[in-house]
Amino acid sequence: MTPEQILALAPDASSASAGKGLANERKWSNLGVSANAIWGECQGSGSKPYQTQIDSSEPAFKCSCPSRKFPCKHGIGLYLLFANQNALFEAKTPPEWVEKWLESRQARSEKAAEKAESKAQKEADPAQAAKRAAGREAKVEGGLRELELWLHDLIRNGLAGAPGQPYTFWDTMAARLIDAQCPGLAKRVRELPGAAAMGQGWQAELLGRLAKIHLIVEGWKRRADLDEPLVAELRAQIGWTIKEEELDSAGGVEDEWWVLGQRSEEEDGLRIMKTWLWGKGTARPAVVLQFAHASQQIAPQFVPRSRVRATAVYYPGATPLRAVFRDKSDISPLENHDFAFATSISLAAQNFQRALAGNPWIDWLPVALQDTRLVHEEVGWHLRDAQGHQWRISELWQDHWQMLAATGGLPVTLLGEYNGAELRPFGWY
Amino acid sequence: MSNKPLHPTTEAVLRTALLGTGRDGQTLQLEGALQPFGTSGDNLETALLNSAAAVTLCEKAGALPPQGRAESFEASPAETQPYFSERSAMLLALCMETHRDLSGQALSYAAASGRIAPPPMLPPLLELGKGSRGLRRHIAPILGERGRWLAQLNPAWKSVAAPQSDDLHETFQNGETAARREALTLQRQIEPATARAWLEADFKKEAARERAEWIQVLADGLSDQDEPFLESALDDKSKEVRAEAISQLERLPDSRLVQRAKAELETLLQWTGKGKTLLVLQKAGNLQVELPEAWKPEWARDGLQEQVPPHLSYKKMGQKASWLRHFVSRVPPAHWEERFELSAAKILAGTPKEWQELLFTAWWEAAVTHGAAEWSLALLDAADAETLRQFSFQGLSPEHADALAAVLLQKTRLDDVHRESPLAQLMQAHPGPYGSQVGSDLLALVRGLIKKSGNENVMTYNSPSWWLRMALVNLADKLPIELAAQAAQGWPDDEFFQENWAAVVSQFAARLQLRADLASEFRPIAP
Repeated sequence: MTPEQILALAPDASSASAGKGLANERKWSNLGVSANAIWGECQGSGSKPYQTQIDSSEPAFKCSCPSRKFPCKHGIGLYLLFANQNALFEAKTPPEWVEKWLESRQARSEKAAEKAESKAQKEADPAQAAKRAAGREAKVEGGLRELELWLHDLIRNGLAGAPGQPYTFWDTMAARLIDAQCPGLAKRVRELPGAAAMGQGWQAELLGRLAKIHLIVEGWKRRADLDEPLVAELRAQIGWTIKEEELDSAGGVEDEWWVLGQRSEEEDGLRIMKTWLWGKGTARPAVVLQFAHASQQIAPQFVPRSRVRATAVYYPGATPLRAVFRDKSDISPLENHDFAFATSISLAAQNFQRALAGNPWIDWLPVALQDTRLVHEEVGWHLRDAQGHQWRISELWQDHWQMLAATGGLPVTLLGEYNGAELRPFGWY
Repeated sequence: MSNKPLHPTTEAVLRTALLGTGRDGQTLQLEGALQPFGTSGDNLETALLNSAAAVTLCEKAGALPPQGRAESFEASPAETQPYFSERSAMLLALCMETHRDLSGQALSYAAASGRIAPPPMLPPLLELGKGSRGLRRHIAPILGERGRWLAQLNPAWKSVAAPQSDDLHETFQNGETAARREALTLQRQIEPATARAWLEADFKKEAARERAEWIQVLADGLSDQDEPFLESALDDKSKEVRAEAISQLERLPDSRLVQRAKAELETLLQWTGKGKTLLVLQKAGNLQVELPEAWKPEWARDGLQEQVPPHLSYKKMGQKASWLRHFVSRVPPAHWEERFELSAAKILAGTPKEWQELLFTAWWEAAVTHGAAEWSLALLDAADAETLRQFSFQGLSPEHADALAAVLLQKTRLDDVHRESPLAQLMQAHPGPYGSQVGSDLLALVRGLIKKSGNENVMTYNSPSWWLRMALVNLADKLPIELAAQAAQGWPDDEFFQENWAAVVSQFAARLQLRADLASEFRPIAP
């Protein structure tokens, strides 16, 4: 793993900094490495050194220091030292304290699998499950009826007055939808006042959003006539969630997956970590979402700029994108990459059109664009390809100087999210 | 999406939606493939929302990527210098992120290494250089081709990478104020006399503030050759400039300013009673002190004040005493050893009690200014506690400060150290780094104090723990780096230490280690 990848694992900037300071051979003794572990003892201020170890197959960290950060600075420091000077690490059989931890990890993952299985069996009582499902569907029906009336009222009275509505006008409807167990719709309604207040162009934006919500209501009424993936999409849009363990591995996509980007963001008190992957052979993109409370750290499941053999199991929908990954093996750094799946901007635009035709609710789609460079137009940064086509870059992305520094103005393959209006990059190669 | 013109059909749907379908006579007539949407559903509202979904989708899907207009950038030229090692780059980044005060030091090592910063570091480096002019000298050499290329693209960064003119004279002649002063400072380090010549040539054209700054530049490499110019600056119109000139002249033992003070004292300080007694015992005699009789107007030119200056008036010092004090503080103390043919200790011992406070504090100032270590040591020995408190340790050279610290360390008992004690004051004023022996003694002292520090429920500004924390910060900055390894080890391991001290101590050790790493990491490329 490269130092940048390792630093990306640090829970915060201060841990990253402290880790850099600890990546110093003088701080460490008894350094060792085995097939799947790296370990060492770090001299802290006390007489007893901290025992730090890394399971390099994941990677996972453990340290005897009292820090509650994860991974702690010792873990980061040890890993950095390994990346910079691996000759310091003697290849040998792990000492007892490392061996014990590796064994316990193995045992724990087996136990977790058992537990998940027994839980699934408990919940599988068909009579109970059917009753629960019917109850929710009835609630959703009620919620959708109410939402439809609300939308009709809004249109009948005209949108001109919408920006003047108090926040409660929107929030009351959103709260009703939460009660009706339609959290997906509630989220869309809660975002409406933002569109009404956005200034220039708000009219088309607000109407567009209302129309999308209405389309979910209309679609649900006709679900009996729709294809299975589209019904699954509607369920997801309304807010039915599917538990990871309910996903059937049978339809999984086995491939060599490239981990191309990662971003952590906060939304409504929730921390969401997004990881984008691309199947080398299948040329399919996938996104992994991990959630935690905003105050908590997320231990990423993937290391950016690495490759892994795994099976992606997609959540059902009209545009399968979100996935969970099973049976991971052979993790290695992503080097000598040839992005056969990257396209020109105009081809990516066509793909986006096609996807929209199949799923009108798409907010964004991952794109891989070849031969692109940054240009600066009067109205801001754009990404231009070899044909001279260009897309505007989202202002949420602020790494253009970093990218120019790294690329020196040479064309690169850029990965990003495209939403029909602008591009938000998440990596370049 | 918002700034783009909309299709007429979209416009039509939008118009109806804004007015509201409840208005009389509203209909929705769409054309072409969109027509069925206009009549879909049971009511106009449904039809409108369906139509809106269709046109929104069409607008989004129909957007074609435009062709760009702006020129794309030329690619950056290939690098000719090697990058820092991963480890060096990491240390530099660590300074820039969390030890900003060490950045200057780190960058100066980096700039001398002949290597350049790897690309990811360039934006933060350029940003740092944008904010602090003084660092640009060290940042420019490590930018490499990529960094210079990058700086050309961002107007805010252009000046950071601007070629630093090798021609200092050119910069001094044509640069802006700050650049001129910087060129003057650099030239002073290379050829002090040339720098002074440049300064003299343009001196009268500068504003008072800048004239004073320029004289400060002369402090580096000050010599008797600067004396004639500095003496002439005593006639400057600006008080600020005159004060600056005086503080430089005071440091030159042979300057006319010092000689004038010496001459005034010729009759005021006398030694009497030295000789042999009948029993052939050595008789030391003692100091005879007289006050100047009347104010001489020419003294004002040398910075004396007729009235007692405020910082001395609280002592109830008389006018004449304040003039005497002023003269004594200017004369190199060695002069008295020569003149009375006596050692410093003897002179101090023969100073009458009523004159001790005045003369000792004046001699102390003179000893600091002229680097007379044996005098300051003798004064530490001879002064009573009240007088000792008035000694300021500011302005000592590292060697001079080390010599005093060694004495104070011997005198200091563990129970005596607190924020106000002379040792603590000296540590504060020491320019650093400590000499090896003093450094390790101070470390041992702090270790000892931490070991015996008790539980303090409330830590106040005056409590020993507070001082100890400050001392650790001080040591982290001033201990010689070869003590880094020793300083990181040997701390207690009990619960009390873990709870109260482990965190500060580990910060202390980390910072010291970082200083050591910086010095050893950026080695210049062998030629």
